[in-house]
Amino acid sequence: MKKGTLCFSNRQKGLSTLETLIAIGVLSIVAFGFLGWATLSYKGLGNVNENFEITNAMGRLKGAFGDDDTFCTQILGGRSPDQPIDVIYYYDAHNGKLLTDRPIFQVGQPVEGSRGGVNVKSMQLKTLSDLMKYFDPNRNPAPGASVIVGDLEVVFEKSSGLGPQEVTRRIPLYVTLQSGKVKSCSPSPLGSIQIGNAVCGVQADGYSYYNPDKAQPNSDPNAPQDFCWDLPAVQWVSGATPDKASCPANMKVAISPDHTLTGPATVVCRAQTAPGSYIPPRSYKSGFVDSDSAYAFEAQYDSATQTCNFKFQEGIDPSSFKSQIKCIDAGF
Amino acid sequence: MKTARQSLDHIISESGSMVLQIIVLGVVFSILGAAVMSYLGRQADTQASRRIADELQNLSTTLEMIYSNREACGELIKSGAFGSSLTSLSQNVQIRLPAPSSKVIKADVNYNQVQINKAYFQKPIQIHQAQPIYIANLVIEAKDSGPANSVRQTSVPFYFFTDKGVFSCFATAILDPAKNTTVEDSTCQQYALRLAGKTPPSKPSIYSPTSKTCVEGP
Repeated sequence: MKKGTLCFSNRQKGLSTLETLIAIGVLSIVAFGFLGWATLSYKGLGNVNENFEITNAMGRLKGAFGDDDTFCTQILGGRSPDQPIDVIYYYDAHNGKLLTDRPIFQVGQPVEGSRGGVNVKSMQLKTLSDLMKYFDPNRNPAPGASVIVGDLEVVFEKSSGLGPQEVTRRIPLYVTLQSGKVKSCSPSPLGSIQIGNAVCGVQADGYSYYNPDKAQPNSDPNAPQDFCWDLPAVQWVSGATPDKASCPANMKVAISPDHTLTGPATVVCRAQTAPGSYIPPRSYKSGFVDSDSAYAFEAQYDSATQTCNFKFQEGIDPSSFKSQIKCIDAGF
Repeated sequence: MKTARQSLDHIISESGSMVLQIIVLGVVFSILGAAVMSYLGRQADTQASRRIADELQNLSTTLEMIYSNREACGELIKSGAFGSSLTSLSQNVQIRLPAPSSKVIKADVNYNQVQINKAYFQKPIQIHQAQPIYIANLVIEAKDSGPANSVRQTSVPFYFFTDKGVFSCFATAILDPAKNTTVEDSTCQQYALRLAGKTPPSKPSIYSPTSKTCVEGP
């Protein structure tokens, strides 16, 4: 092998000054390179860890919000959209209280589990779309309420010094507002408000809305609570006689012509047994059910004449009943 | 014959070359550095990919929240965002979110730092034999930062139907993909079961968007 400048002869006893300087120079370059790389790697690992901390923190936030209206409403209820939020707390469903000693996020504080690298810089419920123009104010979600779809936006601040130092993460929320403040919210498009409205709509052909705040008065304490309320435009019109009821000329029966589920009597005919006491709409398809025996009558809807007809058991005095039919403005 | 290792040992031990030792050290550090950088790069890609998945999920949820409202969906149809009929549902959907947002969901735009590649409808499926009621999936594809040319996608099912002569729609959610059971169908089925009591209904109850009520299914 031909000896080059970088190879040394066996006959040499040591290194020359030049060789030593070259070696120190090369070593310095390698050392600086290594230090630079080590610093970059350290920052990179820090950045990766901080991103994981942010991901985990958002996971905890989503978990705290659950998948319906319950938790979100408790956590954000009463707040105004598009205003800065300082702190949000976990909600303890068992005690029905916010855990004010345990924030999920607090502005200016590190996220839970962070080693001090990730702070919450700001939070806001930002309005994305105002849906109120699509709602009839007298219909869903509830008279007087308004609806927005927004993002709960959280801005995190990192300290690794690598990559973007501010990271924004968000959770979309379906929010109903009353007087400009959050009345209810849900991180799911299938929150109890939407499901409740769907159920109430189905049960009443779209002529009722879901009111989670108030159940219908019910004389039977064992009956399930009914949170479906008639739309304000609905009127229960009393018949002239206990055995027949029909809508006036300017109104129509509040039922879809396609309603085939159990027969219209379940939703449009009812009887008032005393002031404020009604037999709720239900199926009379298979005759009387046990709890109805006290009332001892049957309601049937005649689609041809759009009339509710009532039949009373023998021995019952029909005059103690008032027949009623569910009506709504003809143009509704 | 000396092996390469022996040759290297010889050069190092015999010549005592510091420079060579440094070069070897440099190579080792370079390999180590490349491995660490590769790991960091993969982690960064994984995190970016996860963020894109989250944002797509958020987008899907947002669209469901907004367009489960018939009027909001009807406005999109009027604007031509979805095409003019069931047979011509758009392959280039352009959704302008309701005010105050000015965001647009369409191909080649960024939505919350996610590059949308495509927004299109899959072929509609007729879900009601007696009535012309269809479900079509709106698919949104985004560029992923993972493997080259990989994409992530999300979909939002929409009801399409003609209500009193007007082409209408609203977003829904599929609870049972095998039967195309929507959340509205499920509500009807639970309601029918509750009313039926001990005797289950003979036919499934399904939701009719035209009458906004439950009807007996096929």
